[in-house]
Amino acid sequence: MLKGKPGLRKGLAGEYRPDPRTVRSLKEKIFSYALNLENVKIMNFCGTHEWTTVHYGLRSLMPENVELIAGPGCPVCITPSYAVESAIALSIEGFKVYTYGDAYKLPALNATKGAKSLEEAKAEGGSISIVYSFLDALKDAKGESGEKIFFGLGFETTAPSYAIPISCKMVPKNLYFLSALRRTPPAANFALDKVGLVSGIIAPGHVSTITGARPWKTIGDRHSLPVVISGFEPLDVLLSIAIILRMLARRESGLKIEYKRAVNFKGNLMALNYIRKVFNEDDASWRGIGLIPKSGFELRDEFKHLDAYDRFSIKKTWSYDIPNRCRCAEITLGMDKPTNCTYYMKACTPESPIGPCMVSSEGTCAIWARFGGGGLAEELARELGMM
Amino acid sequence: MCWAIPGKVISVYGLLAKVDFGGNIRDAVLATEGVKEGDVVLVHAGVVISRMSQEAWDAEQRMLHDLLGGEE
Repeated sequence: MLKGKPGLRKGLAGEYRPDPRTVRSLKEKIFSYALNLENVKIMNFCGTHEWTTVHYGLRSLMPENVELIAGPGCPVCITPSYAVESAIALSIEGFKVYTYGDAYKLPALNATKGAKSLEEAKAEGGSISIVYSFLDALKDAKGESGEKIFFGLGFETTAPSYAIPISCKMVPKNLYFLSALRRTPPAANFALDKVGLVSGIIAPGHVSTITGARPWKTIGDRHSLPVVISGFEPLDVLLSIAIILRMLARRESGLKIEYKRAVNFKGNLMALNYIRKVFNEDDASWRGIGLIPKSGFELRDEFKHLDAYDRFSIKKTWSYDIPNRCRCAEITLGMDKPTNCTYYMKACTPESPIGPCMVSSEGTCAIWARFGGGGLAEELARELGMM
Repeated sequence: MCWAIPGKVISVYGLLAKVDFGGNIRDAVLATEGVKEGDVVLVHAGVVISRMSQEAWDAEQRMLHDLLGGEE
């Protein structure tokens, strides 16, 4: 342990917001490793990494030849419009719909019964309840009569919060599960095939607490790339970038775990067992992208009595579900930037989003809108004479 | 959506743990084996998804130290 530093139990945040000398030293290392490299593109696969990158202005610390790209890391952004439209319709028909705050403003492509989002559905008299977790919905539904729906978004990180209560038969008979759960490794492979020319990957730390590092090693091997599973403090992300650049400078590929304090190679076996017991992997649609094989979780036959798709005859029929001229599909795949979208911060804002990337705290457009990812940090730094 | 918050376990009872998030104490479902009082855990959507280890934290610090070439 570093001299003078307190341990894990004495305060995590303090450890990862160190004195500026550590950040300056890391920045020097990043510049030194990047010196003899061609243009480097490092893609993240978690909206929280994009949040850290933008919130702390990490792009302004990069050399000119190092580009940090946001990949498909926001589960709200990729939830297909048909699922949102189904939740809206059910709420207006009088069924109570529980969901997370992040999904409340998520706009569907088409208006359903006059509403394009659950927020608008509520204004139309729909019954919607925002909850912190599936468990809160269980408690609420148990005390009420009538059929209810839980609109369950998320990646592997969130899957145990559904799988455990379902497996332990804690879900009341009047609560149905509308799954928009997705698996990240298949989407990472898809994005890497589609985008090409990615030099390294910052892999999602909290997804990896569940999956373990194994799937990310497979991805690194398949694409011959350096992959680093990273934590979410600014120092975590800077260190991960430095490790990737060092691997590139040494012409290495493969996997490193930076977020060792929370992630191991095998993953969370208890959580994985619950997930496997409750869900099958199935081919699933991603908003703006379409079908990605084995990228979703659907309830196993044993739990089909809880499946909202079956109970309400909802069809998982996907067609292109991004509004005209909105660039969310390309932004989600790391092929474009929010600032290149004609709607960005004009017609489309966090208060009045058009595309799905402008809603969630993990959506690339929403993050850039709130913290100035389009170069504001660099502009300010220049004005202050720091660059 | 993949935010997870570290907290300290105050007690464990059955499938649940009482977790202290800087003074805000909440129940969380255990999805991680071997969690005990005093552990620092990561909680996401009311579920303990990982137990954080001091040894691994030390290893992270060494990784940083090594990369910086002992400049820290």
